[in-house]
Amino acid sequence: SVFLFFQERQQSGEFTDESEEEDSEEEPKLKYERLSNGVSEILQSDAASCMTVHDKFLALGTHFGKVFLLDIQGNATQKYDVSSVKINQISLDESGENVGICSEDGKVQVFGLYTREGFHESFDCPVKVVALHPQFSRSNYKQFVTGGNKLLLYERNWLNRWKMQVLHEGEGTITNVKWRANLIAWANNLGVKIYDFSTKQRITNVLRDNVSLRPDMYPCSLCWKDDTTLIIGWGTSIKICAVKERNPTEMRDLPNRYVEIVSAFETEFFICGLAPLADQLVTLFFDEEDRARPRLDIIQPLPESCEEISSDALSVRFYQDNECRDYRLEHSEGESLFYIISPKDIVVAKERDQDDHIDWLLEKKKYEEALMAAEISFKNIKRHDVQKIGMAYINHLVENRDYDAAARKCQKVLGKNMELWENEVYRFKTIGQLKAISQYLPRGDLRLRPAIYEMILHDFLKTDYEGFATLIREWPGELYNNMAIVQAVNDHLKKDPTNSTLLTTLAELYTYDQRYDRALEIYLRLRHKDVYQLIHRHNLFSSIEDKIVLLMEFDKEKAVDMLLDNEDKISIDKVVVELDRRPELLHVYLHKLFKRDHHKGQKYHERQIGLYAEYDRPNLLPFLRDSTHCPLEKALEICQQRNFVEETVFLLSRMGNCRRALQMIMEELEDVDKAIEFAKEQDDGELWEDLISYSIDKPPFITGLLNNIGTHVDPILLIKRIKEGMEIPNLRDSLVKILHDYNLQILLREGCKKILVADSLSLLKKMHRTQMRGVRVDEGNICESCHSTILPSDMAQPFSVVVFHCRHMFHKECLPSSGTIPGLQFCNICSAKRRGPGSGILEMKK
Amino acid sequence: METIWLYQFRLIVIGDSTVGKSCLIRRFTEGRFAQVSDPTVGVDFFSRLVEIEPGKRIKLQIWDTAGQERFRSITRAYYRNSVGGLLLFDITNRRSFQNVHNWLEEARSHVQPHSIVFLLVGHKCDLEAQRQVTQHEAEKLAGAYGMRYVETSARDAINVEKAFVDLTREIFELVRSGDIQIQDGWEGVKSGFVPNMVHSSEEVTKGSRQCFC
Repeated sequence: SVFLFFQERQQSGEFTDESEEEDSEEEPKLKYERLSNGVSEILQSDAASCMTVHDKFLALGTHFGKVFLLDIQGNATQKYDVSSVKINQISLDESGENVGICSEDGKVQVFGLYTREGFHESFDCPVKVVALHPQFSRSNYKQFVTGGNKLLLYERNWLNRWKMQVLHEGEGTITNVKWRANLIAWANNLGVKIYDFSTKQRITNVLRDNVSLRPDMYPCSLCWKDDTTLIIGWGTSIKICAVKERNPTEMRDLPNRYVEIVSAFETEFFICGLAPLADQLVTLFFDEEDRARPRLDIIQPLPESCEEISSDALSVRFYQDNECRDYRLEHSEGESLFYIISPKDIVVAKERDQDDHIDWLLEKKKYEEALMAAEISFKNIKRHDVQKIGMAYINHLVENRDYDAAARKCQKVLGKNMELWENEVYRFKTIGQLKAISQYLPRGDLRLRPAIYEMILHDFLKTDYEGFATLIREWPGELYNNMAIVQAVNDHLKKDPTNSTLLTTLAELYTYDQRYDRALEIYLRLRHKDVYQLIHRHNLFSSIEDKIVLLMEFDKEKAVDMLLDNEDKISIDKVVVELDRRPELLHVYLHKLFKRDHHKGQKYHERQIGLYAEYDRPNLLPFLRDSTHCPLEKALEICQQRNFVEETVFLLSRMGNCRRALQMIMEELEDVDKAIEFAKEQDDGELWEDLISYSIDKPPFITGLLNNIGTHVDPILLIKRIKEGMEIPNLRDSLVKILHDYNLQILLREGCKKILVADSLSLLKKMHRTQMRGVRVDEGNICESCHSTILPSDMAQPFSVVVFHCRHMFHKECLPSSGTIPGLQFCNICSAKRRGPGSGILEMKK
Repeated sequence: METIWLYQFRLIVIGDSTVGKSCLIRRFTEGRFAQVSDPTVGVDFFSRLVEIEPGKRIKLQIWDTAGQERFRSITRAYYRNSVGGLLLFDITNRRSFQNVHNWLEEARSHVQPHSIVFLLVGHKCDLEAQRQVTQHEAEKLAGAYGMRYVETSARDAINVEKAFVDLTREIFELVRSGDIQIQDGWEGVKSGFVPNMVHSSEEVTKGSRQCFC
């Protein structure tokens, strides 16, 4: 259960909060407000006995016999002295212009609030109830019922006289009456009955359940949910009755309407009042146990039980003094307002709106949810403000030392409000948490004053160089005063001159400030990889001319790439001059240059020979081979000096001195394979002669030659020159190999010959078959010579046609005379095209 | 059924709880006795006509009040509009006799500026064996307060009529002598022939002076 205390609690301390510890997670469904103003005054000396609610005003009856009309704030607008004792009931018609009042000393008054004209009567018994016809203001509905120990119906007749009729009697005091449309429901000591005004018949009798309870102590509560649904609460029992039309076939002499109890269940506490809330019921309960607070529950009725939706205990004034019968529950149908009437206090319950929901969330410190709820329904909330909730949330997070979350929320909550941002930053500074907020500070469209950013940077500089560096990198340079920060960094560098983080950051600061030369200097000193990017981005080539050596020393590859990429800005000549004293760097540069372009650096090729020879021998030969600009004599000289045989051999052969080259291969390298290779490349008989001459006294060479020479030179030439008695390693194998090679060649040729013959034969056969096919000659064909149709129009005339295998046709007379030997004619067209005849003659004669 | 009465007197019955107030009133108005009854809460009222002289009928409106302490705040409102009262004690319960003084004091403090004609009633006189208050001391006390004393029994219907009728006669004499006057806004005594001043619309109320109870 939820215990509720009103707002006055804090002010007056009147309510004891013994149940404050009960921290319920369930949100209440209703909110409560005390009806104050005039009402408080009235209830100080008097006590409320009953109240009736109209859309626009309230009518309050008291124990001292007064009736007050109140506005909805509780201010008295009208007072009627009706009796000296308790007012039992006040009834208002739907128009709110007519009132019926009954009191404990038997008085009944029914009158117009504006005319004061009406019915006044005193009965000799207490009158507990009165109910006006809902349409009482209309002249043909001047009817009301009232009840002491009888239920009486009064009707005003055409003579303006009141005619009385006893509707029911004999079952004790009438304790409640509710009139809705043409149905009158009432309760007496034994049960609840309904009178159908349209048929003038009683249609039901719902008996009382808790017969042991005194009906005067636990009165019956009645309430019409709609025109046909009556809710009865009595003691601890609730019944929901539906008035239904009887099926005409079952009518016989029974009333045409009947009542079905659609739901009946027991409650835990005694019922003091009922009101409908959509499909649910609002129920006012009296808890008899040690006179506890009354409870206002929302319950969901089920056919045989109910489900509690919410339950609030209400601390009404002097609740300890009250009995079940002292409470009333009245409701306003229009607005879902529920009035809890007790002798010394009147409380209004309302359905909670979005603002109340947020109130509750905030009270439960569910800030995230509150913020979300406010954002979703920001148009409907009246008391709350999204930003204020957000601020409260941030405060809460800060209190809980969740600084990062608080800072993150700032971004969302503070939005573009500069003042709030600055306040927040100062707050974070005060609590020493500037770092937390630093990464969430606005840095886009909205900017705070530079001082704010500088303050944070200074803070970082004192404690966290890395963080400082990160901020400098992330924040746009124009957020803060660059000079000030540069100054601060320099101050720190005085203490720690080699701190690379600081230096790097300083370089970045210089870069923002476009003082690239300084930035460059730092980068170079630090050998920082960003230097190339810096140069590149800011086009600093003019400032690096004298720093090429430094750059090269730092990272040759990158430096060279950069230099070559920007050759148009830094000329090759310039670089070469710069690197003149550092040949090893020069070599790297020129080598790369050469790789990119064989011609650009041609004037340095001569110099490169020496450089390659000195620093990069493996690349010398490829260079010599690819370069067309290097002076061969010079190269030869260098290679000979350094005894670079391979390079020398290459150079010699390039210069045409093949014999010398071969000689070097054989003498210097003593590599017969290479020599043979070389001879093969040159394919020069003289060279082979030299090779053989040179090899003849060197048995391993001979073996090599014998193994390789076969396809280039007749081995007989070599074998013949082998001196008598010379021992040659593996001679036999070499000879066998040579013979084997020959055998293989012969086999190969013979095979080829067979294939050729077979192919020729098959092709000849094919040609023969082709030539044997017929050739159609008809009107569509023309003579290729005279271009008229080949067949004459008069077929009776004798004619001759010549058709060649190439499908060209001629009149015989159009062809040149064939001379004496028939069959030696050729197709003009094909022979003109030099296709050759390829075909004999097919002569057709008729 | 037209009931003509000369005056209506409003009487109040007070005394400790369980002295038998409700039983006495019921015996007088309904002529019956209930052995067991629930305690009265708040107030209840009954009425009966009494003929004090031939043709002179007085309507008595008798207010039964709760004797229990916690209801007293409510019953106070009823003293002011009463012209007479029966001050009951239980002759078998000495404490109820001792409290008579308190009840009288309370009643007098609340009826100002009016006054109430009281009758001291020693109830349950059928239980002679359990008597704790002698008739003598009760009469002595009544004399001290200037009121009469009568002993009654609702069960055996002893002196019930007498108690009410005696008190009614006493008030009637005071009214006739002018010691008690009918006043606007005071409901202790009303004249049966004078239209009720509260009724503003005479035409409507005319002819409807009936008792339907």
